[in-house]
Amino acid sequence: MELLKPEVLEKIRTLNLRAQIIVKGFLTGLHESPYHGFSLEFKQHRPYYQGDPINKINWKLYARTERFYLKKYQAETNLSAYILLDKSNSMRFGENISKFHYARTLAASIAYLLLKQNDSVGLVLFDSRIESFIPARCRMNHLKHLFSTLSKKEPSGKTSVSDSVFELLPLIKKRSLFIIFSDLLEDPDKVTKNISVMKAKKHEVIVFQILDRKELNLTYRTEALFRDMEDRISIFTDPKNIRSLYKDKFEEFILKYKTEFAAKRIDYSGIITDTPYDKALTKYLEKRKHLP
Amino acid sequence: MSFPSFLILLPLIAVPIIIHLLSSRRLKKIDFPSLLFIVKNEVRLMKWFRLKRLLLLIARISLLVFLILSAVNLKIPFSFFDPGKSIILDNSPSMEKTAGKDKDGFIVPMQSGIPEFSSYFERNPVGILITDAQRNAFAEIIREKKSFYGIEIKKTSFPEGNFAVIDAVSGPSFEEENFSVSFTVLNEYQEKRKTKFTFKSDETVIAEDNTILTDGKNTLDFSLSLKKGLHSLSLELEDGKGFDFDNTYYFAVNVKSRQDVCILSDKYPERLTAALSPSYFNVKWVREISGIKEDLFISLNAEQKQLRDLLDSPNSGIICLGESENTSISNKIPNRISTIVNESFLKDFSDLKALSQIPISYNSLITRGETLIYFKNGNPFISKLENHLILPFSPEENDLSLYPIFIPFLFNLIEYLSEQSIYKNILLDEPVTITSSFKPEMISPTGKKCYPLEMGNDNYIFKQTKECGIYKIVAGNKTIGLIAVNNHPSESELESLSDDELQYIFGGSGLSNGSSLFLIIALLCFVLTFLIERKI
Repeated sequence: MELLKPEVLEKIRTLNLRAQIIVKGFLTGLHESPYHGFSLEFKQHRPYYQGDPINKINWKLYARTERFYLKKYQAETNLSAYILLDKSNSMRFGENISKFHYARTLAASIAYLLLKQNDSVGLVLFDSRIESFIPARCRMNHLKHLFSTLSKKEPSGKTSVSDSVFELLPLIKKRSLFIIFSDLLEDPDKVTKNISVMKAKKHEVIVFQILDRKELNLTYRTEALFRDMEDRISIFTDPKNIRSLYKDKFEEFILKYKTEFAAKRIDYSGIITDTPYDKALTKYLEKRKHLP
Repeated sequence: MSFPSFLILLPLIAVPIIIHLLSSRRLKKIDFPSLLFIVKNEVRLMKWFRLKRLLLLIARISLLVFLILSAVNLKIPFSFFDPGKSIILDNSPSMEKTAGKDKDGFIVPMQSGIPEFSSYFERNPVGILITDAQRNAFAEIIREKKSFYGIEIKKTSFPEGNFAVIDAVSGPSFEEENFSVSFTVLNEYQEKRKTKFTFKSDETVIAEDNTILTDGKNTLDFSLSLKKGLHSLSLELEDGKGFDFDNTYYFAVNVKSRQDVCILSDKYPERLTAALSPSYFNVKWVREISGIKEDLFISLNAEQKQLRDLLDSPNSGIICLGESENTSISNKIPNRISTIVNESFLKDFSDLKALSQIPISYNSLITRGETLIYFKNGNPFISKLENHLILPFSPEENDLSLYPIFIPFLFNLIEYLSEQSIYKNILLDEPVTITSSFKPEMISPTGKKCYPLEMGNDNYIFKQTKECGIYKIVAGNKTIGLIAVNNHPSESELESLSDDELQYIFGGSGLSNGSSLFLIIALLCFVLTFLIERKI
């Protein structure tokens, strides 16, 4: 979907509108929406009519009544989701669209999607510590508050997912779903360790590692002074010389996250900022489908 | 672009230097999310970075320098990528025969060689020119400040001296009268020198002897008696010690009978008689038409009756109308003064320009005949009616007869009316116009046929005379004229170009054009620049 390409959508200034377009576009593109299958709660049975999907028939009830009935669902209202968005300086990086802008739009879209399904959504903006905390609510007008906060913030500070998570945990009493958007450019051991604490406390966690393609491949041509966006340290180097080694190291870094998160049964997904939003949302829904 | 002009392009070299200085101030800085995976190799890299920038600067400057050198055709002392050279032979007269022991001259000079090759040099800048570098041959190149790089000069020995016949003059020649011809001979040996001369008339030797020529110009006079008709004369000088160029001079003459001219006038024609008396006409004055026998006549102020008889006369004549009343061929008009248009049917009359500057007064307007020359106001100046020429004034009463130009003008009119033979003495490459009722052909001294361009009114023009000698004008099977063609006198002047002048024109011999080499080096510099930027 051309419209859901990040660079195209970035031209729409209002986050609200952007999120709506993404979600509606995304839902229109689905043939069979997984949306109806998991975030809804059983309400009652209804008789089977010709043309209804056979796999929806309640066979147990058929065994008892010898009639075909289909289960009818209604939306859940008790799922509490928190969107954790990394607003550190490293998220400012990006060739066409910054990692922060991409993550923010994706977060807004998911928030909109969740609220549309009557889930309650909260927002946490963090760098090395929590910058903003909005408790989860399930009213649609809560969305305005969320979008307003998302729109106002710009990247700053150093990344520390682990510290922020650690700081957040005492604030959340109810069993919740945490959706983390970050480039996770810090020690993987520390990050996975603290996120696994969340898991241990019966929370569900989905991690989106947002990365830029240039950052992945180091596609610079000439020698340059590379300056760390967070701690301002500089290194003079020739990207062509170190590209291969750099890519190997980066892949190793990502692989470590993948294996660590997989070992701890934490859903992890790496997203590059040129991925269309609908694909990124699909990834979210795939992860979400596996949740109880 | 010539070599000195390349100085204009020199400031271009500053461009890469400025770029280098500007870019070295700005080290590219990139804000990057994390330096966790960036490998440090700063010291080694910084050295390479500086070296690379220096190499880039050198390569860019070299690229520009070699491009400029290629554009200015700079010469190099060795041959590179020789696509084959043309050998160009200077066939100017001085290359014909050269004095000296080795006698290494060339034998078929046909024209002034170098000016002809000037345009060839421009099209083919690589070649070898064999020349004796005679100044006269390069005069046009020097005048136009042309220069040719890539032409290698092989300079032949220059004549030590020369005996050249550069000019000849003669008086009018008449049957049964001694005819004198005077040749101007140039001795350029810078000393008195004995030489043998051979004087020929129609290929027959009529005088042969030795003479001593002083340094510079000498005159050799000959007196001879020739029969009526066309004759070709030639004078050849030959030094016993060596050979000379331009040492033969060709000269065409037409020996005629004396022309009887009868002046018909009431009064004694004082001015006309004075004008014709030193000439070679038999002039007589008559009062009556019956006095005119087989002569050519000039009539002054003829009356209507006389005019009728004159026009019926089989004799040719010049009818001068003067202040007569209206006649069958003219109207009397108030006095008018005008100058003539400078276009003449008298092809030999080169002084018509001088005549056209004289205001001429006249009282008659010619109403009949074919106008040959007009006044600027459109009135006829000379008209031809049958075998007569008509003038609208009488020379006896007109100021025109007081001007010196009147005498040659009158001569030419009489010549025009009398039987003519074509004979001309011209210089090499000079066009010749021939008036003939038949289409003529011209046969060169070596027997080549030349065909003319038709110009209308029985006029034909031969544009190129490429050989020295006597050309025959043939119409049908009859020789109707002779044209003597000689080199321009300046061809005989002995002066060699200095080495500095040759250096200026040809950039020095033994050097080759370096354009290709410099272009290839510039290309290599470009590739090098590209590779350095890409870091090979």
